[in-house]
Amino acid sequence: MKFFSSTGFKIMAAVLCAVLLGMAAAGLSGGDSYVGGLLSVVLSPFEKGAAYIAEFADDLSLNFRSASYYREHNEELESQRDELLRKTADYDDIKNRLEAYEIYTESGNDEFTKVYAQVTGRDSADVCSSMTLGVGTANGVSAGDPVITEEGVFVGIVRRAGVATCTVSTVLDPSVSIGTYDSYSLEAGFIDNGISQSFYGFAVNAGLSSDTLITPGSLILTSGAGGVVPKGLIIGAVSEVRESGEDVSLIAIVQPYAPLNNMKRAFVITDFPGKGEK
Amino acid sequence: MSSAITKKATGGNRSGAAKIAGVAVMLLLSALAQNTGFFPAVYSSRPLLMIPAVVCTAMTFYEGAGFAAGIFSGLMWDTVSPAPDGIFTLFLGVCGAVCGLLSRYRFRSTFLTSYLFSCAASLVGCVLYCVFRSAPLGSAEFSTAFFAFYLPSFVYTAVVSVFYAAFLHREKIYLP
Repeated sequence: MKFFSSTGFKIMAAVLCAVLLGMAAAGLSGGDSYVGGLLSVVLSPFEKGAAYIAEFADDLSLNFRSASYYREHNEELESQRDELLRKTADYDDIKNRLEAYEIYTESGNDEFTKVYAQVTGRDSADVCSSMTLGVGTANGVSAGDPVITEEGVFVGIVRRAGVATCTVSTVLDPSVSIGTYDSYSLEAGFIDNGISQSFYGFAVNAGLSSDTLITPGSLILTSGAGGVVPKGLIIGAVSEVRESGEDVSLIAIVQPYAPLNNMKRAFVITDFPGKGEK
Repeated sequence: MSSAITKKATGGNRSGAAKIAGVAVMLLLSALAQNTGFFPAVYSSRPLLMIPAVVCTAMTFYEGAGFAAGIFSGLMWDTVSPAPDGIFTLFLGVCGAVCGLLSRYRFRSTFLTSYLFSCAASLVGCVLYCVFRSAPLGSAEFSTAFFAFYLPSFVYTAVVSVFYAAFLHREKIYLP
């Protein structure tokens, strides 16, 4: 075919080689490729603008709901109210857990060095709600930094940092593995996700003993083990405890508190006491 | 003959620049809409707009434009993706070039061929992402991810592809 001896083919082959070399270089260095970094700088303002428009459209759609939507919403709220009324029977137990949680969350969010970031993008093809933030290495962000909400709830970990943007793997991502503990019983575990739970918006707290005291409603926090994430960040509440299926241990299905699919803003923790300590 | 085809495809020099600008805006808007989640989610899935945008561009303007569109869109996708760096640049670049070549040498560029090629490329893209995401976790996780998330995503993309094919072949559809 004439095409394979043409200049056009040679240009395409050269560009593809450059892309492959860029991928290899980025893979070896564990960072962003130069082209990707340059592009993230150029496109950052466009992505921020598009994020603003998407946020505006989100708000706008709230003003155009049908009556059936409000009826369904009302029924849903009523059912939630009934459930909450039933839960008041467990008030004392919950109060104890909250007190324990308050002790640990007061332990030092102010000691973190944080960078404010806007959520500028999401990968529509990703089942684990990964997101892109509008801060990068130019702001002191690096791969492995933890990300939290404005309220201090754990969101995920920076997977890749470019010059002006960074990609965040959320707590639902199978690649995110961090130490955890229960705020009430102090039992340790670790996040070990599968796609099956991620798809429904749940994380998996694994490594629990067969006589665990963790029950639905328990608060799961980060343990800080390994020096990757600060201790005491809230991950979410346990919705179910069941057998792991692999051995005698149990797993807890955790509903993350961070609104992973609707987040607009976040903080990247660039430094914290105990960072990097094994 | 070749220049005559190119001239016909681009509509001549006068409107050529306007068409290139139109396609560039379409690619940019597709990339921004996909990367910001502008389209509503259906069963948690969103359409992969960049794939039909690149394929339809390649089918209409042949391999050079398709390749360039693929590289540009792939770079845009890679800036937000947790997938290995450059994987979508490579995928969409090859997609654009192959579809452009098939359009030039093997298939006529029509609404139907553009649509079918968009669907095929979307399926390949969904499988590729599913393999990257869930294959290391085992076959059960792979099938869950594919049937629960990536297959609906493919169907959503296939539906949206109609508009891309119609946009780039609107003259052939509406004019005799």
